[in-house]
This record gives sequence, structure tokens and C-alpha cells, in this order.
Amino acid sequence: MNYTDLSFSGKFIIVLVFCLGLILTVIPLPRVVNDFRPNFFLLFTLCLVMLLPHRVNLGIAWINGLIIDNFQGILLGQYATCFVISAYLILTIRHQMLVFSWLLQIILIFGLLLCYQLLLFWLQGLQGQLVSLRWFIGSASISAVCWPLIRMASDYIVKKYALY
Amino acid sequence: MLEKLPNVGSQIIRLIFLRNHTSGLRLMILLLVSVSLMTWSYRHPLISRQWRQYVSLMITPVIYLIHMPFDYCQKLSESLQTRANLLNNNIALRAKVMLLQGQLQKFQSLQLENEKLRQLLKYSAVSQRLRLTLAQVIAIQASPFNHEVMINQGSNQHVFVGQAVLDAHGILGQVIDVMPYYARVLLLTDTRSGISVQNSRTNQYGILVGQGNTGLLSFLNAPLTMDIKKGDVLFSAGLGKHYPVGYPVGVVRRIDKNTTEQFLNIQVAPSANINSTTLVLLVWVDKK
Repeated sequence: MNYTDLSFSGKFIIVLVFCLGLILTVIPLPRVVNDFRPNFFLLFTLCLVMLLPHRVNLGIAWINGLIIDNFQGILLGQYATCFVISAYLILTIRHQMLVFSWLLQIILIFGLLLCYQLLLFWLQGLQGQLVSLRWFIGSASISAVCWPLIRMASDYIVKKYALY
Repeated sequence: MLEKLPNVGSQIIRLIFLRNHTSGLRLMILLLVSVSLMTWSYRHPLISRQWRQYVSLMITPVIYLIHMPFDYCQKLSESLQTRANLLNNNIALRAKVMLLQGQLQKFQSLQLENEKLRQLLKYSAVSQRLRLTLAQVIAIQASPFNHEVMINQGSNQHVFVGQAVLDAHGILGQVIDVMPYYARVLLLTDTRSGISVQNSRTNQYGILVGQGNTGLLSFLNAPLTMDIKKGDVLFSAGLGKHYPVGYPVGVVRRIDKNTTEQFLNIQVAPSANINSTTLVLLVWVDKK
């Protein structure tokens, strides 16, 4: 199937959405609430992979992960692995996600985020770094609750700027 | 059927039913690349650091873009103060500078006296002279579980890996990663951090390690017979040669003595303002 190429402004909008997600992921918060910070960058990536699989593919999800790796100054490819696996998982359930109710979507996203955190937990553990259990559950659950917001915002942007 | 629909409409409908059969293959390839990248950057940390320096040039604008609103907010709150308030602050700061200069005069004479005594005793230990530079903390919290901060000075300002970082109250941490325009500082409270200390009251040595989320430090392998009290001030011993000697590291907050265990459980609160510092001092040690 052939799709029309996205204009420069369309590509710019997608990059802008990712930048917004990245900014929300790294702005400083008090340490008490930091463990419960939603993973906006991942959520925006997953949402765009789900809505526009022909524009935002696994390769872009992988590059987004690599950006986080560079931001954190950790082993290159760690977040890239987690991002690409999460993006693949959302691609496999994208048809269901497009029609499911909000509650079912939240539950599925929560499960997917737990897989992501577990993978990250293993990769961090291999390097001997500790991850708090509060972050493990807290971040995934708050991110899942934020999913409808991200989905609605992404839907609006996709329709408004005709990114399909 | 789908082909007969108008262009945009058919595109949306196609998108809903889109199935990408090559995504499994793509996943395998990307995973393979990721694993090789991880292995490569683990085996060759120096080369990967160099590579990361080039990539950092691309993300540096994003970092400063994120920091900009915080910087402007701070400048705005400073510029919105009343004249009377500014004058009062000015007077208070002048008085503080005066007091500190008075104390410094005493310290300088003490330093000279100390050096003379060292010469008389033929004490061979190297005395340190420090050069300090101010750096600003960038408002970025990249990692959810590491206790790290970014500062706005990098290799272009001759910052180096292992350099000690202080704040107004004590030792804050050390530089672990240097990029051309920014550097990453590992705070003392991180679990990967360790520092050799000396008790100011008893002159006993020890090692403090970060506890992570509690924001405290703990004494490593302190024997049950160790002479230590709550409120003891611990200074850097400089044994690891990373940190300068004699700077406050922390104050003993709690001591748990359990005779069934081999060591004392000692919790130390860091002297430095770990969570809310915005200005830090970078230390260069000139050996005399």
C-alpha cells in the first residue's frame, strides 16, 4: 500500500511532540515525587507508533531510546532495547488498542510498561545498579493512568495536522 | 472497495487495517544492534565516551532549551524584588562577607603556622592548594534512580573526570562524565559513591558510601568498638586522592549497635545541600 509522503511541517510536528515528551521526562521534580513521574517520552513514542505505524516505526523508537541513553550517560543501547521491544509489543496489539475502551487500554498499557520496567530492571541489575520497587510500580501505574491524556492529545495532533 | 474511497479517507481506513509483516525482522535486527552496542560500549568505555561526546553536541541544545525556562524564572524572580528588599539583602551579604573575610585572615595565619610546624617536624605529606570555579546546576533530572546532576561546565572549561565538586556547606560529589559543554556529577548519596573520611573528634578513618533513596550515607565496616557519637562531624580524609583533604562531608545522625552483627550501622547526613543546590564549586588541586 502506498502512502503520501509526510510534508516537512508534518515531520517537524512529530519531532516537536517527541521533544515535548523528552522535556517532560527530564525536567527536575522533588525526589519524593520523582519515582512517580510518568514516562512521557515512552508514552508519546508508543502512542505515535500505534497511531502512525507507517511514519513512526521501530527504528524511530530505537533512536528515541538511544537519546535517553545519551541523556543518562549509561551503557549505550540499554533504553534503546527497552523502547524497541515496547514499540514492537504495542504494534502487535495496536488493532485491539484502537477500539478498546479506556479502561482496557490502561490495563494493557500498564502490563506493557511493567514489561518495559522489568527489562530495564534486568539491564540495570546486570551492571549492579539498584532500582527502587517504588519506582517500579509507581512510575508504571501513573504512566498508565496518564495514557488517555496522551492518546487524546496525540489523536488531536494527528487529525489537526493530517499526519496520517 | 478501498481504492474507490476518496484519497484521505482511504488512507485512514488503510491505516486502521495496516499490518506490517516485516516488523518482526526489524525487531530482531534492532535488538542485535542494541546488544552489540551494549557489549561494545561495555568493553571499550573510552571509545564509547568519545563517540558520546560527538552525540552530546546534538543533545546539548535540547539540554539548554530545557534549562532555559528555569533560568529565566530565577532571573525574573530576582528582578521582581523590591528595592528595599535588594538593599537589605545587599547589607546582609556585605556583613556576611566581612565576617568571612575576618575568619579567613585567621585561617591564613593558621595555615602559615601549620606549614612552619610541618617544616619543623620534617613532615613529608604534600600540602594542597585549591583553585575553585563556580558552576551552575542544569535543571535536568535524566535518570529516575541515579543521584546525579548536570553542571554547565565541560571539557571546554577543562573539567575532568574524577574532579571533586563542593557546595557552600561541604563536599557534594565528583565528576563522572565530561562532555564539551556540560558534565555529569555523581552525588555522594548515590549507591555507587564512596568517600574516605576522618572523624574530627577522634581522628579515626573510615569509608562512607551512599544509600541511594534515603538521601543519607552509611559507614562501611565500622567495628563495634569504634569511638563514634551522634553529632560527630566527618571530614574528607583525601585517601582516595579524588577529594580534597579536610572538607566537611557529613554529620553522624544515627548509630545502631546490634551485638549480633559484626559491624555498627551508622547513618550520616551529608553536609552539602544535596537536593536543592543550584551553584556548585569545582575544585582543582595544585600540589605544592
